[in-house]
Amino acid sequence: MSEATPHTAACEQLLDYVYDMLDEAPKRAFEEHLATCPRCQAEAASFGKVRQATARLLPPVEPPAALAGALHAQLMHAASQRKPARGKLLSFPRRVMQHPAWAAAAMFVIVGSAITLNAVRGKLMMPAASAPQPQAETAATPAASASAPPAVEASGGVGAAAPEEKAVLGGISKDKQVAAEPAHPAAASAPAPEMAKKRLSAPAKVAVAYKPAAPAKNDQDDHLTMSVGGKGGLRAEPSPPPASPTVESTRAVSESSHAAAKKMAKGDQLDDLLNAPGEGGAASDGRAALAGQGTRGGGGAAGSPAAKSSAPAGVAHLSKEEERSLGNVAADEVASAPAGVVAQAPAPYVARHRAPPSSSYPAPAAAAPATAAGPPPPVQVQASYGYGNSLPPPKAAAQQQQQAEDLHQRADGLVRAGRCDEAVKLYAELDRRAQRMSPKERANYVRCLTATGRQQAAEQQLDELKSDKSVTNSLVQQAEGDVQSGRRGLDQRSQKAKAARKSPDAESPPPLTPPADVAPAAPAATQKR
Amino acid sequence: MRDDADESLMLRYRDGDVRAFELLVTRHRKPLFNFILRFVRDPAQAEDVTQETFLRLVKGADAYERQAKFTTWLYTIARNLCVDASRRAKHRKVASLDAPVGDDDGSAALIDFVPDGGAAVDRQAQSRELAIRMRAAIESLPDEQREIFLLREVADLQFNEIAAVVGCPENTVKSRMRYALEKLREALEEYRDLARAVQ
Repeated sequence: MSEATPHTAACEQLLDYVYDMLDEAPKRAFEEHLATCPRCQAEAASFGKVRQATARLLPPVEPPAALAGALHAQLMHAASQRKPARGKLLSFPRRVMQHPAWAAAAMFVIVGSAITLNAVRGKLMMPAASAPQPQAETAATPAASASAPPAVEASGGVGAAAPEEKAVLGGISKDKQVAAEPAHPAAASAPAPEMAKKRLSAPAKVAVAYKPAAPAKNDQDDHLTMSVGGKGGLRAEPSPPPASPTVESTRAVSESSHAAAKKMAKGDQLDDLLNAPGEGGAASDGRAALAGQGTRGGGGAAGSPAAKSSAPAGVAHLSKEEERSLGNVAADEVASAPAGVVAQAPAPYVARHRAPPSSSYPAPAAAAPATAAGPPPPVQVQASYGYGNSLPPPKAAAQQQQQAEDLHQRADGLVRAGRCDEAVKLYAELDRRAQRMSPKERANYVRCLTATGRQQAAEQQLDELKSDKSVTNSLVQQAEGDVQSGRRGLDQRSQKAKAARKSPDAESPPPLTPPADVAPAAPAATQKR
Repeated sequence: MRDDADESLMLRYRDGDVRAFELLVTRHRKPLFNFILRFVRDPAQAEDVTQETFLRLVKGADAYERQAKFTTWLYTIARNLCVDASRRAKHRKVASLDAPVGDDDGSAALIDFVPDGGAAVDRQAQSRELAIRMRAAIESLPDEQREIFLLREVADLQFNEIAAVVGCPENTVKSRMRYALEKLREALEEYRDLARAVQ
């Protein structure tokens, strides 16, 4: 290799040529240069031989069997425990509900659409100030009238149905109702009885539509009772309900439409209507329709996007008990979810994730017992997966955020004051709440962990710190220094402990559990083992 | 195409498809393990670091964006973990399993393998010796050159990917790679000269 050969810009492409990274034209150009540059010729040849020797002498090694066996199983289990990331489709409803104005608008839209939907089905009686209105109503609800239960017709006509009408209509003013009543006798011609029948049938249909699930008599309710910890509950399948959009929108309905639902249907009167003879068919159809809708909206065993996207349709058909229970569950979940997370997490790598109740990758044996340890309400909240993943109402979220901010500040204050024991607890709480820690905070966390002798946890947090893209080299070095000093301290302490064990009594075997007054028992215990 | 598939699989796992992640693990387990093994030079530690690397992928899946190349991300994590593991290993002073056979004196070891007629056996022995020397030469490279060499030769990353992994410009990567190849070339030439001298 001639050292006199000048190094040109073309020579810079030598490695690209050796590793075959050049396109056709640059490759040809370099080969032309190669013909005139002895230095590049020699280097290209020698580097090529080094590569060949490396490939021949250091062939790829098969990974150990454990990586493909037990460790692979653990890895897959950890992977399956992870909560799926929010897709764009699912994040939109969350973003909407987080913004107060948007949440209010969304609720208005949902409530309005629910009312409109029922009105279209002929369940709502619009105020009938004049004769044409009932006709219009009749025209709008031909299907409803066609299936009018005969018992209603036989129930005594218009006069008897008027109180039910008032109860069902609710928001319609008395004046309008009074105006409506005379319209019935006024329309005494042939169409009037039919119109009256149709109007009377509307409340019944409303009742059918809003009939709640048979309270506490349904197998599904039993499941729900178990999962929610209270009466009623969402008509969701035992398998994990879908994700938060269903529950969130349902909760939105529950908060704002509960009052409207109360007005629309009083339970006793509805039950009477439903239990009236001949109405069972309609009622059961309605119940079946509700069950189907509710299941579709609340089910989706695998939480598929298709199931989730059908949620809004299902939401509109939830009964008032179900909506109320959702509201209660939301409050309970806000209060208890963090504890539930802690109760559930068996291993550090899943500490921040809330495990779904079922997984196609079963947990390794060591992780299974953790679920039994937690208090019942949080665990049950966990089991109803849809609740566990739902966002709390905006107020509670702001409160939680404020609490997290307080934790951050208090932890910083404790670190500055040198109270590492307490600071470690606060950092652990932040970690458990999946709150992001700044690199500085994490470095402080590492320091406090080493100061309190928790070397393994400190090393884990150091790894976390290093994986943070925003961390600076100085912080990493500082944290590494803390960990190393902690390690040295541990080594020294263990050496001292060993020395202490060896020195006092050389004849007796080293007791596994000091102190000396139980030393005679220790050897026996050791022998039994 | 393969790289696109990696990114698509990772995005699918981010959205909840665990099978996609399993496919990624199966695909990258062997090259990743080999890279880590050559870096840390301890099979047990390499096993731990490999497992830890994949677990880090799980933890960071939510933050994965398609713009980031999967292999770049994977080997960035692996490389950082290897660096930590190497530092810990230095403190513990674990003996390298790739230590040269026999004495440090290369010529004495070489004499043991001087061919005396049995060509196949000698070739095998020479190959073994050469492999040992090659490994020793790689281990003797400075850290920044060694990691680039391993990322290129074992992990089969492109230079621009290596630049992203180690956090330096591509020209710097190529420069270090050139130095590493030159040092290894010298080690091989020494072995060849010694072999000729003995013969």
